[in-house]
Amino acid sequence: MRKLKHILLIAITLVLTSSYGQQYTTKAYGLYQAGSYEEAKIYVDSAIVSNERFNSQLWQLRGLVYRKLESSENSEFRTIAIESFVQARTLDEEGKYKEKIDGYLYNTIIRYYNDAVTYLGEKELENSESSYALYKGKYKKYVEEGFDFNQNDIEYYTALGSEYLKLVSSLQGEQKTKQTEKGIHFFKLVLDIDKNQFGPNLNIGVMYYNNGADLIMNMDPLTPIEEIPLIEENAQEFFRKALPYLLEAHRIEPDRIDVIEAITGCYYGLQDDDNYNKYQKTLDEKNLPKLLDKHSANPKDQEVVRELVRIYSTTFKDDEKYKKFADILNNLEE
Amino acid sequence: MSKKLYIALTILILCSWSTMTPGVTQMKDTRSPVKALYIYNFATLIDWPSDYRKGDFVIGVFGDKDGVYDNLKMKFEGKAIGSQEIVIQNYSSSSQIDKAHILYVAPKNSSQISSLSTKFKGKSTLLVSEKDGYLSKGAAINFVVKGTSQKFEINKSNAKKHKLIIADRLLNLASSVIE
Repeated sequence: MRKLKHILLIAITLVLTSSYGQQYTTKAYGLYQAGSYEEAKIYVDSAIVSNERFNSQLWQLRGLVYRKLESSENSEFRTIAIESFVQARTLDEEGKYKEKIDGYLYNTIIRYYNDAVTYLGEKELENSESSYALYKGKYKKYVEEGFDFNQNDIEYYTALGSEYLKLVSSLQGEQKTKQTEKGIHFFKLVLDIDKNQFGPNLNIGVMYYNNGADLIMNMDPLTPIEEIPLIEENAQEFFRKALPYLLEAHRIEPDRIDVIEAITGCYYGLQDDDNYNKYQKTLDEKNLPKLLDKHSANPKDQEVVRELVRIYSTTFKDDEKYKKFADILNNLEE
Repeated sequence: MSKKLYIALTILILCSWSTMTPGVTQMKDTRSPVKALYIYNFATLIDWPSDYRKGDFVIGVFGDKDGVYDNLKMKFEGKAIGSQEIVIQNYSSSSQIDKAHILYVAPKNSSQISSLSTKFKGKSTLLVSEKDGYLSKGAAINFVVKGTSQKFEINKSNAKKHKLIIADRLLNLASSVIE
């Protein structure tokens, strides 16, 4: 009888251990530490359907295992990792592991941001945008609801818009217009946060200006005469759109020659000679010393001489200098 | 991932952005292509007398070797008007100008329109100017800006003097026509 009692006690102990112990978790943890993540995954997944599922540490471990196994082929593992950490936090009622779990969550969610940056480098702009949106959404949901993303948005959307700016330089026609609008959209998001951002103002202006200029520069030589005014009108619409942004960029950085150049180009395209002459004069004032230096360094540079001829025949009329450079230009052209 | 890496990535983005801000392309001459395209269309919508329908079709530019000249040269040289091949010429002085079907006189040489008109008396050269009031000085077509648009005006009698017949389609598009 005493022997029977002893056997019964051992049996009860075994059942209790298997029901209420942490055997799956312990096994999974060992495998995780040994770097056998696939096997560890099997044990953590078994553990969450056993009584071990009430243990915060199990869910933390599951999150870590899934995070290790995450790759581009099974990107859903990141979601599972995040859900596991969230469950771990729910079970950690006393907040014993709070700091640890918050760290796990932060370091997992930041991966969406990394993806956004990586996609940006790989020119997968739509994927980048959706990764950044995921990053923000999950960060707000799981890390800090009231986090102020303004600075991040300024940096990210400026970078994204800049990639679109790069992209459109190699496109033509409808595709160019479509992608330009996207780039402009992202720069505008930045300006909605801070209208004093120089880069987005400049880049929106440049994108509109380039679109307008391209319409004219790439006109089909066989364009019927009736269509010329329509193309001119469409181009001018872009110049009009560009101007407010370029003028704002000019206000922020008055000495930037590229901005003045783009403004000059807009007024030139709009046949607004008063404003064109005003900005061309500013541009010529800034450029003249550089052009003279360039001419001294390389007297055979036709472009430089042509500019000097233009400046001395228009902006700063000087017959003597005009004749001098016109003669040089004639000789160079011969 | 550590916060350090996060910061590094942010810097990467900033670097990418900073390389893009000077992304302004150079100002483009957006007026000359429009004028060049109009000039080409003038060539297709005007009839020259039979002795001008042989050999090359010469479009001359009396002015700088840029702007309108560049655009004509780049886009239209080698194309055909009927059976004639278009040749683009540039002249820096009126003495260089010989036979041309169209002569575009740049604004800086506008003052020579009257003498050019005399020079081409009896010849079928379409004189195109770009200065207010020059239709009365011998040009058959003058480029003008109306509002913000590039337009042109026509002096029919100056064209007739050079035995040029202007199509109604072209006359209808002119901002004004002097009979």
